[in-house]
Amino acid sequence: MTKNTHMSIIEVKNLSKVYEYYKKQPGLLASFKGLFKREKLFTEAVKEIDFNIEEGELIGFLGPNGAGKTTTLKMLSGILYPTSGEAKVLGFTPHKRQKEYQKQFALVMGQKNQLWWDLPAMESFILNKEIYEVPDKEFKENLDELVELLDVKDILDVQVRKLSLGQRMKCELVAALLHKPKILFLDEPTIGLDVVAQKNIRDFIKKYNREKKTTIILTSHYMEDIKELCKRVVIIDHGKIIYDGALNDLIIEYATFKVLNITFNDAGVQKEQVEKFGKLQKFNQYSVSIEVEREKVKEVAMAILSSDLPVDDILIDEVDIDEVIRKIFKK
Amino acid sequence: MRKYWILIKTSWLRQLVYRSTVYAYRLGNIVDLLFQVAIWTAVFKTTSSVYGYNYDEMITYVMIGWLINFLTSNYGIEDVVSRNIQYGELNIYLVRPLSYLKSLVAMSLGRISIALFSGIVMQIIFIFIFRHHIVPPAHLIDILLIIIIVFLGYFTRLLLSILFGLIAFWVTDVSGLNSFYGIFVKFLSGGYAPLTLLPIMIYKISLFFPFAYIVFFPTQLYLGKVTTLEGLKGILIEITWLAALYIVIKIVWNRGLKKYEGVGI
Repeated sequence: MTKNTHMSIIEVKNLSKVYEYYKKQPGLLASFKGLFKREKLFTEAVKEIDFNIEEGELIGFLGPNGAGKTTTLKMLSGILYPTSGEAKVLGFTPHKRQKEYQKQFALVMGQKNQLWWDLPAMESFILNKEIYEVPDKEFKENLDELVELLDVKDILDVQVRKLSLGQRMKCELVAALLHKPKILFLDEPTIGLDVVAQKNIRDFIKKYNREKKTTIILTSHYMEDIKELCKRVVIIDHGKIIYDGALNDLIIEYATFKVLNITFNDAGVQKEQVEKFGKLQKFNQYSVSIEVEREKVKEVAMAILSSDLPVDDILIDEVDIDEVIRKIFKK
Repeated sequence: MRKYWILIKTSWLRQLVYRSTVYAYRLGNIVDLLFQVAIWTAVFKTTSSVYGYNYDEMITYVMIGWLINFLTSNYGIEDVVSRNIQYGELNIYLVRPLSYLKSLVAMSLGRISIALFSGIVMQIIFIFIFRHHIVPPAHLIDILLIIIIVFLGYFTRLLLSILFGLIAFWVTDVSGLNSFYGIFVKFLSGGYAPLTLLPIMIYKISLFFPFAYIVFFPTQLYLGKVTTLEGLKGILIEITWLAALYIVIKIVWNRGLKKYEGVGI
């Protein structure tokens, strides 16, 4: 028994994953040698990560390709066996792959499909109903609701191979949610979709999380997904968590400066006249963006307003979040 | 169990989508059969007996052997397994409350439906055309044994294919191996010609392996070249192989899965 009165739905402690592989030499002779003696190599895909997730959270895993996001999701869904550390989801150890656990979550991978390619999506839904042992009545209710929410009524009887990528992803989501999972793992759900389809999927995820209180972990390398959906973000790079917290705080923590956007009228300004206030992000005669340290921003704005420059308007803005993230990954 | 029943049904529905493909395969089969008939007809022009077979027995071997080879086929389950492993499609099975191995058996059973119908119809027509050369079964009681052997043969071949497909856990590209495997099984099971045509040593060795019991053995039984008692012995050997294959698959699957999951580093 733990003393905690508050139980997290997902608890991850010191979780690591090391992949083992063999060094491959180019050339026939080297390949032949490789049959007898191979050099074993290791990569640490995930390094001692810790996090807890509460019920109903919608949390974003952000990081460049190969950062360890998918590996983490695979460990949480029981596909991969952790090298060390521990993961508990709903009180289960995922890699034991107990049926009671599997019935309570779903995994959707943007690049892999569970729908039967040659059949209408409806056939895959019926199959999933049996696999997850969903009672008839509940199945019908869930299906009707999901079909309505995702607006896929007209494509249920069309062969999956004939659907667009966006339509297919919608159907994948229906298939994954028919058994009302408590937790949904979404690995790059918007990958390869056009802007409109991305937005549709995003809107659905947002609504579903809000209405059903389903805990959702989303990985993406599209900033837009994370910005739109997640209050909390976990940034992973080279297998390590480098940030875990509110998206807004990330800006305060990492963006040490704000941006002054100033418009000028009359004859405008010369570069030399504004350069002294800070680093210029953008410059033309009538419109200038200047990076100014957070603490000095008021001071500088005052100085500009009280100078003899022909200021028409002045705005103090936060740095764009994309900019912040890009800077973090560059380090 | 209901989920696997629906899986059989879904695979069957999928097969319906490919009706035209199935019929196209039958066209290939017709050419294949006519070619074998032509070869043996040519061979028997100069002799009246080949390794104890007269012309009619050989034609019967070709026709009945083809039918049995067809009934025990599983249309490349080894390819399905290796592809599932290589492209990570196995993940979809691992996260759902579903057994992968049972799913494979269910999907394979669903896949044979249309092909089964078209293949049997085609073969009935062939047997009718060659009716004057088809030898009737030696003993009617053997028909029952043949049905049992064919049934067991289907599962023997299915388990062999699954086992072969599981190699993909360790080898990155298995397409070449899979192609070799298909020909190897058809040859050793007597799908091309009676195994008695082989050197006596190889023939005797082949009887210790499960392959011979898939096509060659039931056809021998049909022609009365094997006694009913030997037929029963053959069934026992096949059942033993099935049990052995089941155990080996379980072991290989568990080890392969450990590698897939990256256990023990």
